[in-house]
Amino acid sequence: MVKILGAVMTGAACGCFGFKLSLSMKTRVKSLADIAASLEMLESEISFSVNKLKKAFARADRNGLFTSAADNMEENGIDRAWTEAVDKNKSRLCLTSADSDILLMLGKNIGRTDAEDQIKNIKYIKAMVKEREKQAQSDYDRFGKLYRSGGVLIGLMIIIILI
Amino acid sequence: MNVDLIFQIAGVGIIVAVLNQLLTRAGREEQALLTTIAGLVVVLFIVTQQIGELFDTVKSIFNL
Repeated sequence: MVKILGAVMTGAACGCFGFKLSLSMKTRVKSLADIAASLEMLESEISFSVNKLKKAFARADRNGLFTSAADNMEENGIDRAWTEAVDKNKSRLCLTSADSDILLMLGKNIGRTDAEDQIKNIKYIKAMVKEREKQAQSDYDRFGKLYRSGGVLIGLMIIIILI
Repeated sequence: MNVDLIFQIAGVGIIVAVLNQLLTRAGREEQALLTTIAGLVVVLFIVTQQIGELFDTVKSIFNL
């Protein structure tokens, strides 16, 4: 009885681990797509509406990242607020450290120079985010299924060896 | 005769074969090879105990 329980728990744990890995890859694709869309919105906010940065951030938001930066933008300044927001949301959005490095470049340049220069910078970052999104999507297509079935299979193997 | 042992080894074999296929499809040939070798080592560990017993039996039969 205890043996069966242990076997079920081991299998479930390994399966869950695989599914979680696959899910985090999927989440990463989605959040990168959201961030790219937000950057697009931000670009048009800056070029056409000429809104204040805080309002522009809040309006461009898709997944909570820009809102949390906008929330403490006034007391901390844009660079620090953006860095903190990226750090805080990094694990929730399943971003890798290379992804967040690209995003952090935004905080260094935004709100400093004239609109044209900012738009150029946003466009550059958006292109990089889109590139990473494409890469993340192909990673998910290749390895998502592998992680799902691999987790279950490795669980099964551990059960068979131990039983 | 312990039939469980055969099933155990067969199970490990099947799972390693499937994992090997999966990893090869995903383009990770090195890891596929590594999995196969790991499976081989695990099965060898299981089998060596039995081989040791076989030697003991042979020794005792011929009074060596």
